[in-house]
Amino acid sequence: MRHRMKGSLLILAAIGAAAMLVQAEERPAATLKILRLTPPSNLFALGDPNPPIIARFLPGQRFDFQATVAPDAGQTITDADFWVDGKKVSGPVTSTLATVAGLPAATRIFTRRAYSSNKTGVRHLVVRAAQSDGQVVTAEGNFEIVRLDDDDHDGDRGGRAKNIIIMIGDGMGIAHRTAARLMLHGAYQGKSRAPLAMDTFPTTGIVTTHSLNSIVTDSAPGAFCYSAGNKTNNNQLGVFPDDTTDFFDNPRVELIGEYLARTEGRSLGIVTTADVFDATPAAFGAHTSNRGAGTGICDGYLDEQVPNSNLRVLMGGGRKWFLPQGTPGSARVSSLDYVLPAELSTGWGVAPGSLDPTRDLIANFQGAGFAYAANKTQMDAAVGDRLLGLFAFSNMNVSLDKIGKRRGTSTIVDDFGFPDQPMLDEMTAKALDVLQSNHRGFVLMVEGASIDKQAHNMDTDRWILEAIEFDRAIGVAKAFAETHRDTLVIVTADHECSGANIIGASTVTNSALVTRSTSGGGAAQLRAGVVGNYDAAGFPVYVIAPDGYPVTTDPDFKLLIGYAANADRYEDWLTNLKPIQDTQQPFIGVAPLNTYPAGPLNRDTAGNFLVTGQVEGTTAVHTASDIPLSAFGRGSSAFTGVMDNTDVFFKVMKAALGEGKH
Amino acid sequence: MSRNARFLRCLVAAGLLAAAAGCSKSSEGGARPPVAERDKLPPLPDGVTELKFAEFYRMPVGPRGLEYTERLESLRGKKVRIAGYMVRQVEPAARTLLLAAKPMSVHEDDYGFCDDLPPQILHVLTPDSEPSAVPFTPGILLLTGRLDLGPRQEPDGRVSHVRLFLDPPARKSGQRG
Repeated sequence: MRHRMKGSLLILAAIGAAAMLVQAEERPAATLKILRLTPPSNLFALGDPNPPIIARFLPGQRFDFQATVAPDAGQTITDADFWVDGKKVSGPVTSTLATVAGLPAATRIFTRRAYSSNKTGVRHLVVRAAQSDGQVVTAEGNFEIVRLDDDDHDGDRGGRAKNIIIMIGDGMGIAHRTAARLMLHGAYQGKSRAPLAMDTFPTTGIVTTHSLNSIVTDSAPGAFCYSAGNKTNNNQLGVFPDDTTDFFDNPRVELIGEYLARTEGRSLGIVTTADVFDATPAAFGAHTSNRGAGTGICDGYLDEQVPNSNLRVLMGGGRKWFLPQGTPGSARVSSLDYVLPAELSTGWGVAPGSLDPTRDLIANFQGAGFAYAANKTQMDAAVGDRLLGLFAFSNMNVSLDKIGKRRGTSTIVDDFGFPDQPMLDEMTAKALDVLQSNHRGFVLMVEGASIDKQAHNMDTDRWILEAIEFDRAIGVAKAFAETHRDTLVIVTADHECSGANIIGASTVTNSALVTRSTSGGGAAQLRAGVVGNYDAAGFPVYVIAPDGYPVTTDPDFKLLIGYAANADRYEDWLTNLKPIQDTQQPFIGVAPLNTYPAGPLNRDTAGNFLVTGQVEGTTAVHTASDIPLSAFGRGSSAFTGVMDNTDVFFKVMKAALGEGKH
Repeated sequence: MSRNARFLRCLVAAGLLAAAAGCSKSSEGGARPPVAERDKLPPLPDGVTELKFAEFYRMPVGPRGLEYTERLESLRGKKVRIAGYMVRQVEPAARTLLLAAKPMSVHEDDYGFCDDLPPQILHVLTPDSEPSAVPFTPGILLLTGRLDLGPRQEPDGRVSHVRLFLDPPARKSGQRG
């Protein structure tokens, strides 16, 4: 048993030692030792039993125990078992060899699948492993089963939230919201002229977003916290980290859709403007340590989520994962697919999967009763209680370009090959229409994905319009909740992206800015005399068209945005006529998409105003900033204060299940 | 002269344009000559049709996968000429090169076939008479050969949809093979 360490110095020393161990490239000396104990805990990692408790679960929520055990040289680990609060956990413990590099020879992994408990409180976990020479090693950790009846709900008692709508503006920090409000409604004499739909929600909180292995999360753990209430490493979703190279065998945590379908018979809907395999949607319907494993993630939507989460709506881009290999444009490959270990398949009661790149996943969805829509027209016409919508091969086009097509002012979406794509608010309305067929209720996740993607590209006007489109979808969700009072809507993000913020406004007319943008004068033309801050910023005015979007994003004296987590870019403040090339798109590199800028250093060059960034590469990055959350409807009053992102899950589930149910 | 070097020279003889020397491993669309380089191409030989990557698949995209254009279908089995960039591969397949509309690189050892190669990739198969290893050649390649269509699993595991069976290199009169 490890000695417990007390005090911050010892804890810091332990963290430093762990970091050195991770960085060591040579195979460590073989010593009988528990290298990892899952679920993760500070008690195991730091010897600290005190809060915060890292891993928390609902009563009855299923998750896996796992331990990685290294033997002494020449020995083997023969067996291991897990003990909770001094009582041995029943059920099979299976074993496999660790396969990641850098571990001592014969290191083995022991797993107990799909454990659950209804006994609330902090639970003490011990793993005990035996070596072939008879030696025994133990390690301890802890986890918590969260009580659902100790909440501070005070204003909205009155039953459970049958319907849960989780709106995730990917990358949407506080400045993204402010910019959308300023562009959509404006401000004058110190006051916003109107609120965003999300601003009208009665409860607002602040959310911290760190992942299990970094202060800066990516979208995978950034959404997994909402879908399962736990932390994991970047790139991972639905699982805890492990020590195998298999993407799909990690210790699992039961997701919100799986839990509410199993215990309540509710349905699940997933709607995004990204490729449906992307991290945020996948966090609500997949279990993998590789967010890029598109073939397996999309197979799992049908093979696991349809039967186990009652997945009834899946809409977004990503058709390339659904086309059989052999069809031009298919991205299906065996290396990104899965066959689950038998012990996992059996333990969780899920289909084992198969390496089937030639699978026709669209046809399989249709065979499972899903209507299939390839564009907005087909989506509008779809009937029935199951809907698959795949409106692009990869990420959908962004709202600025979709609106341009509808207005007849842009052919961007034509260049991508998908001229009839729905807007996110239209997809949300359709999803709600379909999901209502289940009288037991549903969970719907709606993602405004390209707030993040365009903030990465530092394409200011595109991400602001993405935030406006997202707000329109929020309006749809709010309207639903107003007529279906047993509905909870929360609006938040997975993380902030790009360190975007509002510098002020241009001090010149659009025509003057156009002239300066082609002058080659650099900062002397595009910074001096242009960037108005404080009093000089005034109140930018955008005229909004009947379709709900600005008539132009280049008015005189327009809003100006800067970035704190930026890569190098040329900036001329004007709307970029074309988006940056997306390498995931099918016609990339081919005319006309080959005329699109390759990156932020390949556009706006005529003005010669180079803004150097703090980060390497070609795109801005996520930040560790806290993000806002707004809540509306039943159970919404709980979402106040500063909360960890995993807290959001438990507040949602308290609303969904009602206080005192367990 | 090694056979590889000789084959490289044969590619040049088949129409390698040196204008893009220096474009390298990047898959980014940055420094590369404009497609307008095609305007400087030598005249088409008799019986050969010019083909562009943008002519591979129909636009807009239909309800499922990509579909060959009528023009591409009409050229099935015929001699075509196409300009493009050789994809830099860590593990290139024997007697095969991948031709793309822009400079790209793939790292099969890291990502398998999970790469960013667009569907508009031309699998170019070199003649059996030539060395199996095809040296990476930066810059625009202008290649002539017989066009073949349809899904086919290649020896390296990739599925090809559009293939070009490269013509043997032209030989000077009296040159011995």
